[in-house]
Amino acid sequence: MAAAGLRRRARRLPAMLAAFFICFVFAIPFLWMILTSLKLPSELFTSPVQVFPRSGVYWEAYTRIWTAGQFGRYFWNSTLVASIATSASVALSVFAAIGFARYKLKGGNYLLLGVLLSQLFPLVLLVPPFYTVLRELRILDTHLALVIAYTSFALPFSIWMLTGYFRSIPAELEESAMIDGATRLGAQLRVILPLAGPGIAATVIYSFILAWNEFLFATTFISSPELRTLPIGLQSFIGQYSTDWNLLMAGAVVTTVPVIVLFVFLQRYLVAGLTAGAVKG
Amino acid sequence: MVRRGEKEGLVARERATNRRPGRLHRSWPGYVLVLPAMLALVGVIGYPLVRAFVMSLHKIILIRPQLGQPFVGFENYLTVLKSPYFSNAIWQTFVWTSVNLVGQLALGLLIALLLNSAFPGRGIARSVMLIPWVIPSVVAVLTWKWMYDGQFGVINSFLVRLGVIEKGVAWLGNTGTAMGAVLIESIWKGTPFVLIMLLAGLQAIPAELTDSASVDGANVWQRFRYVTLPFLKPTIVIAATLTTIYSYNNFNAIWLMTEGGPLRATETLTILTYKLAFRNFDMGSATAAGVLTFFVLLVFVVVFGRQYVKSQMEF
Repeated sequence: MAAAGLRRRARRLPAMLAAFFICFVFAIPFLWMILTSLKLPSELFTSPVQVFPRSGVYWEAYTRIWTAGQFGRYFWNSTLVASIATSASVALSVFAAIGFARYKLKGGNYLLLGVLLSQLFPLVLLVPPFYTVLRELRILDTHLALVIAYTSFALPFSIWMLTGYFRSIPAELEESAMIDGATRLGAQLRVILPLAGPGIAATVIYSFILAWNEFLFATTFISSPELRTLPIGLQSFIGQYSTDWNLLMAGAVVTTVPVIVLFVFLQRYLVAGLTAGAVKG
Repeated sequence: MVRRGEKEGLVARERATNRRPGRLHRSWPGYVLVLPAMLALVGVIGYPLVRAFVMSLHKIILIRPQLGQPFVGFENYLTVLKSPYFSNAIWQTFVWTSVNLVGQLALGLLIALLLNSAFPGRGIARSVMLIPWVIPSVVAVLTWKWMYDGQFGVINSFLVRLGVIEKGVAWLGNTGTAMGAVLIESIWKGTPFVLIMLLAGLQAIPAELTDSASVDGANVWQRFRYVTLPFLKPTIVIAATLTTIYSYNNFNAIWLMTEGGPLRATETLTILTYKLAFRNFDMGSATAAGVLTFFVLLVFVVVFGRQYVKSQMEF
């Protein structure tokens, strides 16, 4: 028996090694980003390339980044835009999902399908008309423009996922809450929201990451340097003459940290939600 | 929230209405709940789309406002269709999308199969595989740009040491290598999403099935071909559709690495549309190109959808 188990494990060894090797290869760019940020600027421009920092770990890039340029400002701008867009988007999609999941709407399923299909349109097709409309409304080059755009972009996925989630919660629960004296919506919010915690967590992380990472709209609609969000701020580090890769990679790490933290906390919910939506879709 | 007297009244009323059949089918509150989100979507996606179509029928040169915006019918479409840049962009889009699709699906499936079997450290391996998907695309692209650097890039250094090349190559600066270089970044970034979906699909396959197949003497390949693959097919089709749409519409990777260059070697329809709008300031042609871009994608997706329906009927 033991020998058979051992043999079976030995047979799995190549697959296991292959898995670890592929994982390592996929992790290289991420590792390289961190290693670059921890090297002395002079150590970056050697030939052949030096893998590890030779003269000790150089942390200065992480302090310089907050003082040298406008990075702190970009970080704050991104936080502001992403938080507002996330709150608005989650609120709108919770209400819409209750509507879709709990009421018989005429053509509700077609509407839901339409919501999903709106994802199909190339974003780049929306940019010229959006630009024109923003100019007419005189909100080009404002954070408001980004908040409006990001709120809506997160809606299709959030509505789709939350509707699925809410449908899985038995309606009897609300009915008993209603008998206890709550209004219909009150009962729904009181009963559904706590149970839908994971679903809502997933929409929060999805909306936040979407807004935090968005580049196309931000780079097209924001022209004032002090209004830049992180993605365009980072790109502006690529100088006309030379690029301070050490600083840029430190900025990249700092930009990535909030996303990774959010993700580690909520990954189970997001992956479950994504795959549920995908399998259903 | 509600005063006592009122509350009792409400309870009585709710009870009374609850007994009436059809109480739960009252639907107007549903419309009210759905409305704000729908308005937001119409305002930010629906209206701009209509506006884009209207714009595509006009001559709009942003830097020449004195010309006005005369209606020109389908002239913009003709201009775009006749342009050699458009046929180039169609070809680049085809290469870009199909290599992305094949690469991400093949790698995603391979890694999903590897990570689906139990081995120590599997959890860590799975988390690591998600990193490319999680990190912001701008961060990913800039990191790759640094790794591709012609003089000090780690990729060149590695290849020189292996003896594959003699001296550094500007991967993003050569017409022959730029597309491949951007594709590698894109496949790296997109594969984890395919992997997540396929892993979920694999885990839904009952273990008894593969077990009984192996008891019946099926080898690894036969088990994969006749048990795993048919089960996984719907998930694969969805993953393929999403990958096609995402790659097709991708802007960040190409724009940040090459801006469609060198010499339009990486200029897909998406990049061409953007350049027409914000390099040439020709909003009419840009929206016309954008509308055409959308219809090309639609053809892709319809063909896929047909294939999907057909494959479903076979089972």
